This record gives sequence, C-alpha cells and structure tokens, in this order.
Amino acid sequence: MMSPSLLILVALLFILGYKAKERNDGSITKAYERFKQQIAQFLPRMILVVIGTGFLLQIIPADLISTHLGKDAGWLPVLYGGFAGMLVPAGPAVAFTTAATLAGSGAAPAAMVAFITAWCIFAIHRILIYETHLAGPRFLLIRCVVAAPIPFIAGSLTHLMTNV
Amino acid sequence: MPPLSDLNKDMSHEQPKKTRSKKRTFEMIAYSAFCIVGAYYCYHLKGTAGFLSALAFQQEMLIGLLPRIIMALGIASLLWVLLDPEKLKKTIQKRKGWVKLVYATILGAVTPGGPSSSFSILNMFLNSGLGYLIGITYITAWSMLGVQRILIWDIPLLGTEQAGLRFISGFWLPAFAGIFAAWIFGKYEDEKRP
Repeated sequence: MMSPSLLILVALLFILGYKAKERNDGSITKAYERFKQQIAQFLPRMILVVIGTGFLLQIIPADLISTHLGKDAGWLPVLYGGFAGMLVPAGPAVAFTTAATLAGSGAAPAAMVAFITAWCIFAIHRILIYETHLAGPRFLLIRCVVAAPIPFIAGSLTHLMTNV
Repeated sequence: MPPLSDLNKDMSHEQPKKTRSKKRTFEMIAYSAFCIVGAYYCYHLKGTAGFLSALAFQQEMLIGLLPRIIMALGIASLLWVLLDPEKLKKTIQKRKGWVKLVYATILGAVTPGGPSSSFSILNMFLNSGLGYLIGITYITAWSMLGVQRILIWDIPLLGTEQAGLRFISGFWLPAFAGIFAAWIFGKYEDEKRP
C-alpha cells in the first residue's frame, strides 16, 4: 500500500512530466539527463549514510540523548540544536541523517527543527564556496546577522506547539 | 536570461571536472569509512544481536527511502528544466509591498538546483535593484524552505510530521529576516530601482 506522501510525489512527478513533455522542446530529455546525474550523485551517499546511521543508532546511548535533547529537557534542546546545526560543515546527507539518528534516539522535535533550520541557513561549506564569492561579504554579514535568531525562533515555536 | 538549466551549466564550469570527481571520491571514501567504523564499533560494543538489529533497521529504512528519493529526484530534475528565473523575477517586480515578500518567499522555496542557481537568481535580484529586503527574503526562503530539500531530505528522513512542524514554524521567517535587514539599513532598499 502506497503512503500518502509517496502518492503526492508520484502525482507531482506525473504532472510535471506531462508539462515538460507538452513543451516539446527537449525539456524531458534535459530533465532525464539531470535525473541521471542526481541519482549518481545522491544515491550512493544516501545508501552509505543510512548504513552508517543504522550502526550509530545502536551505539549511541539513547538515555544520553533524551536527557539533553529530549522533550523533558525544556528549552535547552532548542539552544543545543540551533548551535549544533550552525557547526555542521557537511552536505544534506550528513545533516539530515544526523538529525534522523538523534530523532530516533529520543531528541525532541524542537531540537530537530532548530538543528535543521540552523544547518540550512548557515551551512558553512555553502557560505565559504558560494556566498562569499557570489553575493559578497557585505550581503553575507547582513544575512548572518538577520538570520541568526531564526533557528531559535523556529525551534521555540515548535517547542510550544509540541508541548501544549 | 537563459533558463535555469543553462545557468547551472555555466556555473558548473567554474569547478573543473577533475576537482569535482576528486571531491566525490573523497566523500565516498569518508562515507565508507563511517560505515566500516560504525560496523566495527557496533559489533564490538553490542555483539551479534546489536549488529543484526542495525542491519534490520538499515534494510527497513532503505526500502522506505529509495522509492521516495527516486521520485523526489525526478521532480527536482523536472522543476529544474521547467522554471524560468526571468519570468519569476518579472513576477516579483510587478508586485507591491508585502505581496512582493510573499512572492520572494515562494520563489525561494521553489527554486530548484543547488546554490549555483539560487545565488545566480539572488545576484540578478540585487543587480536589478530589488534590494536586500527581497534578496534576503529570497535566499533565506531558499535555504530553509526549499521544496526540493523538503521532498528529498526532510520527509523521507525525518517524516511528514517533523517536516510539517519545521515548515509551519518557519514559513514566515524569511520575510521577517528580509524586513529586519531592511530595517537595520534604515530604509527599504527595494524601492531603489535603476
């Protein structure tokens, strides 16, 4: 039985595929080429990260995570998650599987929201490779200053929503 | 303005193929080492039972993830060829006030591809006088609300509920960042048009 999220993905794929086919300008071939590149890039990493995560979940003591990052730890998980997310110097495969590992070991949803949001906004590798060159140091500085509270706001709102 | 697919192709020339392939090889070695070290410690600390339990978890996760990842990558590839940044830019320029912020947020969320495409669009916004208000809103929305990222990583790895929580708690924050940036600089810079 297909889950609703998978059904949505299938429906979207068909709608967009139909749109691309309708254009009749080679869009569908371009998309297929891009798809092959993306599969070659992501799939092996994904599989390896899932395998590594599986082992890690067995090793990490669940008590340790639930004490510091669990629901009962109050607002602290939001702080921990936010700052940890800012420091992850890797791509989405590592960031999201780390989050999945922590969530599987009892970390609070608020901590995960703060962690992922912080990683999304402040991914160090992206800032160094792209932002400093393409947007300039002035833009980078402004963005970092105004976006700094975002992971903590998002985490705090999640904390309020999940603890009502 | 070329379509997004061509824009990405241009940007990709900046990083030579050899460097990219070296980087990928290094990453694969690092991930493989992560698995091997994990397997060793798992077996060493938890014994055969723990090791088998980890294998069962991996199998379950992979069976659940693979179809979603394949679908999501297909969607991302189609969006990559279908979206035209020039049209999107014009759509934003036509709007006034807070509607512009809403459009910048939506555009940020739906921009496919990696940083090369989003930062090219950001540059285009900044150069065409849309200012920090729209630039910061757009790039913050791209980084934290990217539909492609939600479909490929959030939902498959963290689940629909967690992805939903992240979206609900954060959908308004890119606009907040944009307004905050404009406020810090004392004026709405998007009013400055060339």
